[in-house]
Amino acid sequence: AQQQPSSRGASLVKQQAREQGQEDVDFSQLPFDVLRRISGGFSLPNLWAASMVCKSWYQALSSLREAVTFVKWGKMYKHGRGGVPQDTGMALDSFLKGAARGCAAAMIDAGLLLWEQGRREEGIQWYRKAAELGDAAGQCNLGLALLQEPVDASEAVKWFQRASDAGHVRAQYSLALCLQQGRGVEPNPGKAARWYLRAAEGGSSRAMYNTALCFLSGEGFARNYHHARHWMRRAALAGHRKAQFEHGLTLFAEGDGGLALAFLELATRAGETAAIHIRDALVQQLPA
Amino acid sequence: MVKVTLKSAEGDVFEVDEELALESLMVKNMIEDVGLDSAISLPNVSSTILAKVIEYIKFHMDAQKDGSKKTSEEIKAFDDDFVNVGIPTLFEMVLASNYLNVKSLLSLTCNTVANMIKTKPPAEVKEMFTSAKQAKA
Repeated sequence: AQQQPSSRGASLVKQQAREQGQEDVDFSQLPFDVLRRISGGFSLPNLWAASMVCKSWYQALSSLREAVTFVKWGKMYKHGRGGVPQDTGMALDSFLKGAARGCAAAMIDAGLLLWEQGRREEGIQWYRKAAELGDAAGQCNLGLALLQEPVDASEAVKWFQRASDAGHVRAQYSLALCLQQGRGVEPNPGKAARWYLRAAEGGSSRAMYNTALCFLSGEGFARNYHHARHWMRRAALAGHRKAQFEHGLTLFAEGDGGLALAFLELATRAGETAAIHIRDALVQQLPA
Repeated sequence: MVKVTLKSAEGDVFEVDEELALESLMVKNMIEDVGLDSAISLPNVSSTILAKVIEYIKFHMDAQKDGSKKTSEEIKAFDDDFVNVGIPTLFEMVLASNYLNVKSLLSLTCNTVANMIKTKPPAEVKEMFTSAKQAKA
């Protein structure tokens, strides 16, 4: 076992370290509120990892671990799962208890319920708190909320930017939209197209469609039919109805009537009325 | 421009613009209480860290001024570079920004520590934050 150094020895070492300009910080001395500030956006595994660092951290994080339980209960009440009846009031109550303990996920859930109930101001307040804790989903929700009345587009763009840098796909798509339309920021087609592409790579079907349009029109990217076709197809496969229609048309033009029919059928079922006419024409051509 | 004198833990003196000093809510309160005549003593902040905090506030104040040509990418690059330091220094910056109450810097440093913990397995997290203590023992 390691021998405990005398306090004099310890202070000597500390003094030496100070002289070398690299004094060690005792992490267990971190104030509780700061540690909770750091950990507010953690998932349960992260929370446990941090709780296991030392006794002091374990104690500091107990309220956040409680908050995770409140979020769990809140979700059960919200969806009426796990043997509890659906009860929005109880759900909100649970989320608010978690939020009061500093948990970003609880803040977002509480904000969402408040927003849906028309208590927008309160909802925005919780989104903002979560956003300031560095939670990307909170930053994105705050940005989306700020784009609605009363609009503060430039502030929204600021939060989209932060969430986008952290890799949040919905925020990347929203940021691209703002950059394309010049909402709250100088219009910049090149940047917009690059963020569409990032969001498309992250799996957003709307971003895939817009990426395809950028390549098709040459807005923001150099015109490139090959890339346009690639992203239009991906968007169609991801369920974007306009992309299904467009891709169906492309396939039809390329002479692949059978596959074109499949995409046009999908588009029609998704409610794209423009596809009906060509779909019917293709059905007529099917071999008997 | 009115100057404010800040004194670090080692007794080093930093003279900064009042506008810059007011970014720290703690210093702002001190100025309101004791005025600008005497130096403001910050016994919890070392010279190295205080210099870094001042550098951070200065950069962001310049970046927010009208006519600043700094793009959001440049600002992000500065922030990334700013917190790209060893864990002990990073923790001192967390403590200092908490003590000085500089909201934006506290947010930046806390999120950086959070991301370090998020991306590592539990055993590594424990090791990362206990190794410094053991080195001292």
